[in-house]
Amino acid sequence: MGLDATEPVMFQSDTHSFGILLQPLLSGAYGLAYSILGERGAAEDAVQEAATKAWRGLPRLRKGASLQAWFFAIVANQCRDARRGSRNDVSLFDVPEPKVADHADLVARDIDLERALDRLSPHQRSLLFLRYQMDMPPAEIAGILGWRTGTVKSRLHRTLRKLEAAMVAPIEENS
Amino acid sequence: MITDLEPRLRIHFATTPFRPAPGWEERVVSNAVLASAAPSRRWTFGTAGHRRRLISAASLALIGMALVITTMPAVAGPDIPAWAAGLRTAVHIDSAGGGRATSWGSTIELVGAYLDDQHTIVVLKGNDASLALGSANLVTAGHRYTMQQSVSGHDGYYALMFEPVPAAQSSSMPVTLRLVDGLALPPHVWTLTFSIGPRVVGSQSVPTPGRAGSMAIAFTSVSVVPGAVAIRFTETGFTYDQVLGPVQVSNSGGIQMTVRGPFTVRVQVFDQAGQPLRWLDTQLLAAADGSASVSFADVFLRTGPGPYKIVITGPNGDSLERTIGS
Repeated sequence: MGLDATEPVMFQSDTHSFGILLQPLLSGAYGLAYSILGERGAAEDAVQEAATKAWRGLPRLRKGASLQAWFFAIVANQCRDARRGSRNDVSLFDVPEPKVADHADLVARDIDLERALDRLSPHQRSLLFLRYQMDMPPAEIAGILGWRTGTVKSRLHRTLRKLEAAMVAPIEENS
Repeated sequence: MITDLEPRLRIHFATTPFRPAPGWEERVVSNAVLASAAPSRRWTFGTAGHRRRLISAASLALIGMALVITTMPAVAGPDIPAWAAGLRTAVHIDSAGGGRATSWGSTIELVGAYLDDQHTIVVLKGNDASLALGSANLVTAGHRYTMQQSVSGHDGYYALMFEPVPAAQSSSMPVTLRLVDGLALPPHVWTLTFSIGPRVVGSQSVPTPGRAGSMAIAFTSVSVVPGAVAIRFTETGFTYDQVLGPVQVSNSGGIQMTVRGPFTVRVQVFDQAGQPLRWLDTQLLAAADGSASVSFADVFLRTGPGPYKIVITGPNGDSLERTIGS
């Protein structure tokens, strides 16, 4: 969260610096992508593509701007593109991969919450991820998702209400 | 109850699915640098590492439909090259400001549009050649068309491809084009308004058929219009598997084909000066399963004067050349 690109022009020719700046952000970026796309491979692809764009676009990062917010915005945008593409690109061979969990996850798994989250839109899931996993304030989330700060607050409230309602709603067999 | 949700969400988002595989982060950085170093010649398609060709069976019904494009008197700007000025004839710009927008000092100007039954291509010029137009949508008559592909880096020109707008093939349609540069912070947003509409392109003489080695080629149509050169032909002698590499077919939601791998049939178009026109799109029109015959619909960005030389090279390296347009 605290990483700032103070001399971005210097970084593009320096792969090592780029790695030092970007690598700490990748785990969170992957989580954001997964919250939107819901598939490991697609999330990895989206972050990879975003990293490539970040490398190319690093000189244009404004001095003092938050590198994390900038990079996450690219990731979110890339995920939107990926979702658009996947809607038109249906193949029998693109079988959704099973969700893999380790033992600790099985212990911690919150089935009711998982089902309720599945009923949210990708944007709503990404909003919750940024707020409750990345601990981002609404203003920073607004920059990433391209919304106004007030919109983030109201959507966050509505999303939690929807999630709350979904957790007590009857289970749909096909969901 | 909401306050109870927050700790549960934190625990949920910390589980394995939301964490990348070990060692993945290191690969991302090195891949990003390597990918940026490699030259890019074609449209960026979908997610990284997946350049896909999506072919709809609906294309079958569209074979042979006339290319359409709008027409209005040419308005050449002082810094617009001849080919681009010609492209202005493809659209009507509603107002003096409608075809141009500025966001954070970056100006985008509408150059032209190309319409046919396969796609809508909008060509723009920016005063900043490094814009990343990663998101765009075109709204007309209450319907939103999202951008499928984009190409940039051609002297500050950007070409954006959308789905076809059927209504615009029969009447003039006012449209709103909204563009977003996802790399800029804060995001740059441009909104342009203009109209698109139909004009049946005058018939071009179809080149004579010929052979490229063991591949027979029969042209279906050629169109040379402001901003674009469109070619349709059928090759006989090689199957899909031979001209496309691995092909995967899906029957879900209609018949669709997702194509991966390089094309082994190469189509190039050169202008009068011998400069290659920039490739914009290829549609592969479905053929009977196992048939040694494949139909192609290619579109190129018209960036120089004709006549134009078409060169089609088959999988075995043999070529056929024909000249079109003027």
